[in-house]
Amino acid sequence: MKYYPHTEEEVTDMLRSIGVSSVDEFFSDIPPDKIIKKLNLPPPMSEYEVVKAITELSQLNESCLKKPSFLGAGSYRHFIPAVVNAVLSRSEFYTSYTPYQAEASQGILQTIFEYQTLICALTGLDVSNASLYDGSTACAEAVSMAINHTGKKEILYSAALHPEYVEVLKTYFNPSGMAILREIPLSEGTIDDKFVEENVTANTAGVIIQNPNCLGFIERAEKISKAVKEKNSKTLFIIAVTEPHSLGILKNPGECGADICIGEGAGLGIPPSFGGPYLGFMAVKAALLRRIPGRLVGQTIDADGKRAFCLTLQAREQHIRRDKAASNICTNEALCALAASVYLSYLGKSGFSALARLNFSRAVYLKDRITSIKGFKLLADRPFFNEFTVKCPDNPVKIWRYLSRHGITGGFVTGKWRIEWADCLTFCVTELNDKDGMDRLADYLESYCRDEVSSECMIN
Amino acid sequence: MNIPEGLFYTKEHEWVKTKNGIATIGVTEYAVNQLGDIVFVELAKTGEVLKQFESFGVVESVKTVSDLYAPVSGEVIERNPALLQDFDGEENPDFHPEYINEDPYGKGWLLKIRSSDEEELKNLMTAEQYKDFCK
Amino acid sequence: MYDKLIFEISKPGRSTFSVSERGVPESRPEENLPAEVLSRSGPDLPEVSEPDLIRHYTNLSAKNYGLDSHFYPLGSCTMKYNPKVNERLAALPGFTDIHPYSDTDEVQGALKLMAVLEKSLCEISGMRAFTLQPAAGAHGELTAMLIARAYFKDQGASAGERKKILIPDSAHGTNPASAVLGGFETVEIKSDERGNVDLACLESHLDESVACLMLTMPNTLGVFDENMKKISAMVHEKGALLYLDGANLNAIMGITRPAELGFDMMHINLHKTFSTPHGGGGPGAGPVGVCEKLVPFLPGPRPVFNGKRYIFEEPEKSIGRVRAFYGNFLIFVRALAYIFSLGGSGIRESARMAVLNANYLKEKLKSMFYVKYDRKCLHEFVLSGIWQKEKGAGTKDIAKRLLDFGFYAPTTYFPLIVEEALMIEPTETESRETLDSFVETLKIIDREINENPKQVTTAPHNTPVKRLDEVTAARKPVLRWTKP
Repeated sequence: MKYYPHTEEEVTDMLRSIGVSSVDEFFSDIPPDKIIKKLNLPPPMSEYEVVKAITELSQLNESCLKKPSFLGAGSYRHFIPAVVNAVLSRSEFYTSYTPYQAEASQGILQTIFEYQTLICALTGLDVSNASLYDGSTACAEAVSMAINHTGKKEILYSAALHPEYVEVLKTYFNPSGMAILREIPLSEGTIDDKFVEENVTANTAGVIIQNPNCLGFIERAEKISKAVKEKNSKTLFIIAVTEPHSLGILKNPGECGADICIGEGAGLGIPPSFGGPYLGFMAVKAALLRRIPGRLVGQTIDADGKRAFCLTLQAREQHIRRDKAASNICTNEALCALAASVYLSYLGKSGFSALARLNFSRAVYLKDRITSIKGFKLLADRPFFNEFTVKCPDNPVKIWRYLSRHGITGGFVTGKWRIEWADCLTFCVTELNDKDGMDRLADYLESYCRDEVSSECMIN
Repeated sequence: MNIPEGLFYTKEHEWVKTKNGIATIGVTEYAVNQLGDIVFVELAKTGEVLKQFESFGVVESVKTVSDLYAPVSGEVIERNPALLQDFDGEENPDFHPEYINEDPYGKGWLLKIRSSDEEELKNLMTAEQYKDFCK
Repeated sequence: MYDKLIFEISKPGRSTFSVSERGVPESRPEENLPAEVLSRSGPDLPEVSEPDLIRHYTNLSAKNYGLDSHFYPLGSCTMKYNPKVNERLAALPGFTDIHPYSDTDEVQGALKLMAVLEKSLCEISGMRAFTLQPAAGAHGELTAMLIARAYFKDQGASAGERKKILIPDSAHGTNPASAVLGGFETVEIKSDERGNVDLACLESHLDESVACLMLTMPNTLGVFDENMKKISAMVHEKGALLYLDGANLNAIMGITRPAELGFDMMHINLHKTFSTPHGGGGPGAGPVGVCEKLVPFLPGPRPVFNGKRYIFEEPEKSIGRVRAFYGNFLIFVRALAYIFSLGGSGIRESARMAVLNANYLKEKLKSMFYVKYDRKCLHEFVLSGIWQKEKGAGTKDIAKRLLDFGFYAPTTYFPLIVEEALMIEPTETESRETLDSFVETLKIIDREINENPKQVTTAPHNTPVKRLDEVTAARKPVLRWTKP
């Protein structure tokens, strides 16, 4: 299958009008000994063959789709209403380009403006950008902002910041030493605020916490913010939100005193997608406007005085600022941002809150059922939203495999993140997990414990 | 092109006018033509000490950003309030970046500094020399 | 024309969304969570009915040009047709619904897809291995900078020894931005009067303090550097690395292999060369390919076949992750479907047709516009609007007037080394009629500039809005809606 329309005659004709006898002549600046005759790839496939080949690959993944899943750990499964895909599949949106020519791109520009507004509403901050790649790189951008804004290098980050986000920070900042990363330990599953009080200094550019944290527990963000600002009012307080549905119940980062809120917006209308494309969001206080990376859509008027939207403050971006740009981001996640806009607008104020409350009720139900089983207890007696971590009476990997064999994807093996959590499992409950599914999970955990020395366990 | 006499000019298209040890600094009409409509200015703060030819800020238009380089050394004693978008977080209702476009040698002045070394003017161009430079 | 913000059609109680039955006893946050963490009222989101919501977005889409409806001759962007079968495949639940932390045994199809894509990109580029993690070209560039840094450190270079990245003056802005973010200093290398890298300039800056030369090939002028071999030799002689910004791969895929031209690493823009949709600005993907000696430094984990199954493996000297999870997976699905569709021969022929289309257009336009570098081009070329500017309407105005005729404008004011630049890349998926129509339109506009320039300087006239006041937008930024 091919997508270029040229017939043989057209090619001949076009070559004649250029005054050249063969297409090969255009490549004459390429060293002749470097010209290849063919690629060692399979021959072209018909559309049917392509569908067959790729569908076969998708079918290899289907066994886990049949199992109810309690996996969260930074990627949250939520129900995606049909309107999201209906809007996203409009080709005027998904086949359009970055809206540099504003007059021909008012559709996309307005949706981004609305997205920026919605993210500000969600986070309680003043300015949102048009999106970043994902939560982890948004976290790195926040660190860049903090070090550029304060001129200092030290970044204190929570030990319960998503460990892959931490890895990204280390990859970005350790080699050059542009930022000095220091971990804030936990105390009983959440941030040790005494550590924060004792370690924020005049050299601290930023403090990053995740809320709810990677164990699912809710941090006392406002208290930590006050502690930080008391020690150094210039230190930027950054809150990372990997599960934005939590903002249907929790005090928003702006109210908690955050200067920057970043996070993973994929839960808002984008499926798990094996990790991408996702949606990094970032919102900041007004004072940081000129430091914010990425595109910004602003409102203006046209020559007739009509309201219109355009990319603005572009002079901060790489295509103008080049080596002095604060960020190198160009392509972002515009279509994913559109999905989030549609999702949030569709759920609306009452729907978003109701959904968050539903998630919470169900999570509490599961937590109660699991912790009523002997040997399972919450890792820490801390509040949570829709995800929590429990200590298990036996090797969590064995328990996980047992659940898997019985048709359940039982949460995240927390020990993959840290040795200290090697006896834990982190369960996430959303509106996609119904009572029956949760009861089955709990029942199997019970039967696992009963049969702890059964033959099934001996095999492993 | 307007290139007033009595001012001194840098290769980066800044001008400076000194009187009684106070130097007023701005950007030239040439710079303004290159930049287009100015939207934002970032300037060294009052009290900061500048060194000749080192960057003291940035001038931003819709399509580009340019660094600003100090024509002379000295301590910043005043910034043009019409060019500051906010005063410590409070929005400035009299923010007029367009003054730089409209009147780069007058209303659009950037900074006043207490210049430390008269001799430094020798490193700059006169109006005649700058006129040639711009050709 | 429809002109409402979603917040303006919102009314409390309008929402038609409903939540499922709880099915479990209610746990109220107010009773179960500390008051200090609770929101008083939840976020202020709009409330609209589903019909109104759909009407809103559908009407907005009508105010938007898209590639499906309009020709986008955007240089450097490779706006080629986005095949619909790719969209269908990327929507399969076996791809969309799998969690990244699924047991790898249960998602072998996903790992295999990534591995097959990687292998295909290796065959096309000549590179030994790819990381699929980077979410975009710029992200890939940064990844490559970090790999370069790790490589030299591993070679025994002291910190700061290899501190410079050389970048041509014609390069895309992401190149220097990425270099600086990677902790390097940048040095600009001039282009000569033929648009090649100025060898003397390159020589004067090439020493053992240089980590890497970043090139785009063909370059942003659309021409292939006549000294490619020499440049590669010069760079490697000093022990430095040669990086390819693969944005222009559409010109040479199947014709030559970057690795064979001497490139040690490169990024590919799947959303350019491999037909994945631009989505109004993203998502894309910017996989980074490396030569043998750099493979150990790739970000991990990477999908590899261990003889029995696909597993994730960490390269031995990995620079670490450059993002959470594995990459923009659904973009990989589309790209692989595209590669399967075209096959080796189709990929090669696509490059040939892209280059034919560009030369055809250039031939027809080169007398109308000043061409600074009069050379045979590959898949794109740069014109200058300076003649028109002298008559009163420059590149910006021409771009706006093109919108009136139903064409999205070419890339404007880039590369920086051409004044009033107009960069045109038709891609291979455009028919001759479209190209001829584009030429005719430019002829009309050129005539207008001679006879009635105001028609052009006040364009666009036929789009949903007229020319925008971008100055006020920047002076008084209004970046969100607020309740009046």
